[in-house]
Amino acid sequence: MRRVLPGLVALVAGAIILLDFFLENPLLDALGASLLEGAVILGACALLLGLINLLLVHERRIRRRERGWAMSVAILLASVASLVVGLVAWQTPTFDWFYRYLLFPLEASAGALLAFAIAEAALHAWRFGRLEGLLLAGAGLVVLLGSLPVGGWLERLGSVRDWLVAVPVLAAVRGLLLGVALGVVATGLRVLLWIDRPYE
Amino acid sequence: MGLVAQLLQSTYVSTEGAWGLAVLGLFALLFITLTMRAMASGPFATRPLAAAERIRSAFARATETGEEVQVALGSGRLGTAATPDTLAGLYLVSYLARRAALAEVPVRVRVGEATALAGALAALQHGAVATGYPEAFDPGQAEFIAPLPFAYALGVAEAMRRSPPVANAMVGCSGAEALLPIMVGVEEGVQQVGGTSDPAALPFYLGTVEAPLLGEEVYALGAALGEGEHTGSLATQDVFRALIACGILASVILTLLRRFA
Repeated sequence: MRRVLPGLVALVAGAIILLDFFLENPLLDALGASLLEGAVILGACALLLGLINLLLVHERRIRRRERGWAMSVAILLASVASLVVGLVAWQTPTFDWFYRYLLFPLEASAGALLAFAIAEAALHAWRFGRLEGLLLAGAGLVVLLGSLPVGGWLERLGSVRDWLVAVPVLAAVRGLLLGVALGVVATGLRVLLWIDRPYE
Repeated sequence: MGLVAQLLQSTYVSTEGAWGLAVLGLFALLFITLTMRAMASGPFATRPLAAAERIRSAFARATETGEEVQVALGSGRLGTAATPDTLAGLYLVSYLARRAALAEVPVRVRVGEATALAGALAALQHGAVATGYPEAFDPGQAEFIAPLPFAYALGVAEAMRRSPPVANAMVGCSGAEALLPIMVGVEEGVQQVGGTSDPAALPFYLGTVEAPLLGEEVYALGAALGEGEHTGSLATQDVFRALIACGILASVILTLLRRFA
């Protein structure tokens, strides 16, 4: 029963959401909306599990003095601080400040590191002479240079960039997306029909 | 009966909805038929997937050395559009967990989303219980890194630098940020597989990961790792892909004929 019930719940909920997507019926609409709401609430509950896991994993790392344990102290302090700010200063300017001037700039700084990683990846592809990597680096360079707002010979690269994006890139992306769409439908059916239970 | 009739009376189906349902019904019918056939008379032949071979060889190496195997599931949430990719990653966790308990290979799963963490913990526990070694399950095997994509990617990269695993599988829902841990893996000489169904993030896997999973290949990993019934869904996808290709070809020919007529 412990194994059958989750599968049955998944099957019924999935079938209702699917039918609600294709059909217009007030009862299906209401059922679909409440199921989606329930999924959001479950997701929020799972966040608590995430927090407990974070605390346990880093507490263990500190206790065992594993390599980089000082970083775990910083992570624990930061997560507790976030929790306190969220609980105490909910919907106040402090909460807003915390997100706007601390969390988002940190995330943006991490995003900025990506430029260096891309350059390193291009260099890696170049060094190892992989054809796909070289083509990718070459096409990326043409697209980047062709997008620069400068005149001269670089301006001519603009038309090459337009052709690259409109013809080979679009053709490849469409082919990929068709395959992905079929794969998504098949995965959904596998889970709905209980053929596949990847969480087991 | 009255309730069903009342339900049907108040139901409206648009033309697009009817077409969608019909195509989905056809797909489901073929899917069930081919999956049942695969279950009854053996799996269909599939082309080998380089990533699956790499995973097997990396696991064999981990069995010998006792080093850690890492699965990075990304920041995809179960219950959203990211579900199929996250499920593909969870399938890999399940595959490794079933073997790791026997071979005493430490499997580390790093997630950026709490629902995926729940799935990973369930897969790891089930793997340990199914092989008869429930004590092999350690809740610390699955780590929740951070809910923001770049913070997650940096967390995984830092963990890989601190203690490099023997192999890293980036299967799940990741965007461009996946390149940060991948490049750390490249620097540390980690054997890496990974891929995504997002065409915008795909270039970051090409040229950096030894065996990239391109687009739909992410969903074919189960079949490539030896799940026979998964080949039924692959065969269904192939039939529909052929039908779509024929449709595109026919429409191109008809358009050309109309233009020249």
